[in-house]
Amino acid sequence: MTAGRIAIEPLKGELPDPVRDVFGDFVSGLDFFANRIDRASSFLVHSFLDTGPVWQQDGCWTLDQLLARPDGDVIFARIAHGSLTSAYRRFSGGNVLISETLAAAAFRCAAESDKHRREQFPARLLLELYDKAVIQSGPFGAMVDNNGARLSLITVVLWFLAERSPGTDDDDLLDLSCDAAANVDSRIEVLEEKQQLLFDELTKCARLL
Amino acid sequence: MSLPVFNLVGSSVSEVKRDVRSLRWFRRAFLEQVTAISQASHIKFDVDTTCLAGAFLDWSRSFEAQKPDKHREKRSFVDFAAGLMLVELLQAAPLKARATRLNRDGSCPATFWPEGYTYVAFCLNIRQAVLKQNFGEVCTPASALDDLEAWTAFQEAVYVDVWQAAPFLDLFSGENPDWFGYDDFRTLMQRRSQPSQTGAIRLVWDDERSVEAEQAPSFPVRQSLDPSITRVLVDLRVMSNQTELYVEELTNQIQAYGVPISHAETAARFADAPINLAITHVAILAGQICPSAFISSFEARLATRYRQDLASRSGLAQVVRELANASVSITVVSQESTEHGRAFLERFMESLPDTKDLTMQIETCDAEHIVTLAKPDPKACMLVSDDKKWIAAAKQRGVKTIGIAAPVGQRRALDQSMPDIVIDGFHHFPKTSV
Repeated sequence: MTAGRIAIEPLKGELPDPVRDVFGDFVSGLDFFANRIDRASSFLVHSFLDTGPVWQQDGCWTLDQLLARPDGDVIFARIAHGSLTSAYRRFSGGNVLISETLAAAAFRCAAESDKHRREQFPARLLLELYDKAVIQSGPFGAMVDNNGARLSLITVVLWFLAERSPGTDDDDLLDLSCDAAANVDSRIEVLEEKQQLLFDELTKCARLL
Repeated sequence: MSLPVFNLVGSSVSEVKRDVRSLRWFRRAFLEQVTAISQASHIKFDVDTTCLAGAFLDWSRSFEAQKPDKHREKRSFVDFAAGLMLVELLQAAPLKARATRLNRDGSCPATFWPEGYTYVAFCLNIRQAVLKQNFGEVCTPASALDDLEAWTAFQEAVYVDVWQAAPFLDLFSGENPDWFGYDDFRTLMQRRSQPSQTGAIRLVWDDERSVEAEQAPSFPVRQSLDPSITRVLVDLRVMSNQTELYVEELTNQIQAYGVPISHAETAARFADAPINLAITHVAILAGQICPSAFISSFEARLATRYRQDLASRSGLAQVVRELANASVSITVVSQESTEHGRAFLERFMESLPDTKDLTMQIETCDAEHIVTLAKPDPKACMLVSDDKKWIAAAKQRGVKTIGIAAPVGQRRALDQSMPDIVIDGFHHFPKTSV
């Protein structure tokens, strides 16, 4: 797994004296961190975040908002495509196919099966995404069943659940969700379908992002 | 003493107590801290943000589960939460320093243990910021933060039991550490609210001072022994300096193979472990080794040392006299029947000619059978030991227990088995009513 490595080096100390002070001032601020982190995670979701009608003016849809829309499943599938692709690349480093059709079907099934228990929708959605084999290896659509695939699905559900404010950077949030997914995975067994436990862990973790 | 501080805790818009509960802020703050230390020490670091997130989430769950409702406990909870954070960071180990000859010279805490130093600095900076913002306290780290001996003890203690990190953080922050363990805030508060039963626990750095402290204890209060106790089972190991001699000779034995090791490291790593662990350690560092030769020469060395120097612990004779005078019977229990154990007991008995009706004999047993010795009335029986398995087994059957605490590093393990009383030595043994 290639996820989550950031190298921090004392750049200032390696520079010659005349340059050190100027350069040191330049890199000592918060922007220095932003650059470092962005560089480490540049493979994230830039490709789809800026374009298309699926985005609201002020950021990503919440799952509740999508559930209330007739085209919620389609919007979800398009967002899931980009975010799952990025998350999987971070966890496993390879290319996979994300089926928007199956992602939309997973959304519809989860919404239908938990009509009377809407609060457990995120847990049911995760189980459906896994069952429907949304992440596939091309070109014949075989299910990708590895650690990276499971963590990617957890990541995307966490990402949808996380609270956002006007200044929230969705790239950064997806990166954080990737970091948190392994911890959630260690506490639950997705395949056991203990939906209440799964829901508790997902929502608790999402609140802390 | 000042620590490299990161910008985020100094920011006026940041309310650290609230913000630190968010992974976004936590990760950014941690990376800032690492960079501040990297710039100051010229050490390169790799950060595993997945491990960092794991540490944060585990810490947050514990934080949420244990946070107090009572306003008067909120200040103490800041210290507790900082210690908890240090424990989680040490367990998750998200940081790896890239070692070079220059930055691993060990001349200061930052180069002695870069990862540990960074975790401590981060937790202390967070703690300081919360105390300043929410309690108006201005904190200055203690001089121990510069003390390499303290850092050596810290590293060794954490190697044995990571929960020892919390009291060490108290030590570095200038607070009074509670060496009996920190994982449960409620228990910690209850212990602090009770008058001390076992005296203050002090951290001493060298053996000389440790011996001095035991010979001249400054603990004025001794509890009274429960009058219903009619029989005391005493673990042979805690009656003598056997463990200390074992550690000394094992250190000498390892060094004889050309492997450098300190007394403290031997105690931490090999005192309670099978001898094979020490043999493996030597084999890895010294090349090939003959295990049987190692064992036979070590046994010969140990037998000589026991014959010459095995002695009773300070205060034991007085306790035995008191128990005998109160008609409490004493049975010495041991996990193995050894010649040096029997010889020690004979010599000890000979040193108490004035004690009437005193009979002591060794019973050999293991943790499963310790309770059979307490029959027919376990409630009238008391076990004195430093072995957590024995203590746990005895407690399960209703036998009262006294734990003799070993030096720093083992206190936590003993506390986990929850003896009824933990004492530092026989000077603090409950006195009989007669």
